[in-house]
Amino acid sequence: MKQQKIWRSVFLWLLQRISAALLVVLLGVHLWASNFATDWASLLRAGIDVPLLLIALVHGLNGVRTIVLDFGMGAQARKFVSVSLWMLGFAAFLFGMYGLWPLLFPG
Amino acid sequence: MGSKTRWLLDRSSDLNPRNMRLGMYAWVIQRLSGIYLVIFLLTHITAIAQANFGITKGFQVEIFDVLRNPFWYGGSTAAIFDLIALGIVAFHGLNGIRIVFLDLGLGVRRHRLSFWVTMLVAIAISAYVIVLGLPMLPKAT
Repeated sequence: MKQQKIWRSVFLWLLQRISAALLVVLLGVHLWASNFATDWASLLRAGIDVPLLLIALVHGLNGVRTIVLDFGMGAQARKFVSVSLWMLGFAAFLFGMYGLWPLLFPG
Repeated sequence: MGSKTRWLLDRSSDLNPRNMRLGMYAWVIQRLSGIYLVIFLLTHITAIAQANFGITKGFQVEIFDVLRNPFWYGGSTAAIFDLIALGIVAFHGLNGIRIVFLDLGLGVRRHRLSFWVTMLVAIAISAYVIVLGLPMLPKAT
């Protein structure tokens, strides 16, 4: 395997750990702010929900990629999986931004 | 012995229950819960966006109509779906923290104990939040 590809795998592994730690914090704030609301809960959610959306999608879809690639497949199939997940993630991010729009820009 | 041609749960497979020990179960549960959470995340995102789009018919609406059926939530919008997700999130998150510690080489000798502690804390957190949140759910009609 090329050196560059090995470093990419290391980076994705590390990214999964870092995003996991961030998600634990962000998700805790998100759940508290959306269900046990106070006066400034919507302000808090407007601040954290976009990074949460982005990090959750990265963590989730990178996890799916890990699971699928563990079944073992050729280089072309791996590329196909990665590209498909990128497109799914991009579409989901747009949907998510649309859903968050009234929260981010009320009125 | 051509492992590619073998079924996933063959006697020689790591995933055959007879070959699986606690750490392997933790690994499998982490992956299954991860898949559930990805499905939940995508549903959660599209459900909220759908409300903004004002979509009133089509495949997606049919799915949400199923989720709004009292069989799933007993009176509140998709509450059971959400509460299952809460328990799974608690487990997946805590077990994820445990994995990070194990990767750092911390607590490797006690990985069995920490798995059961993770399970208990996840159940305790879920129970606490459910008790805290249940009075806030709309009453069944």
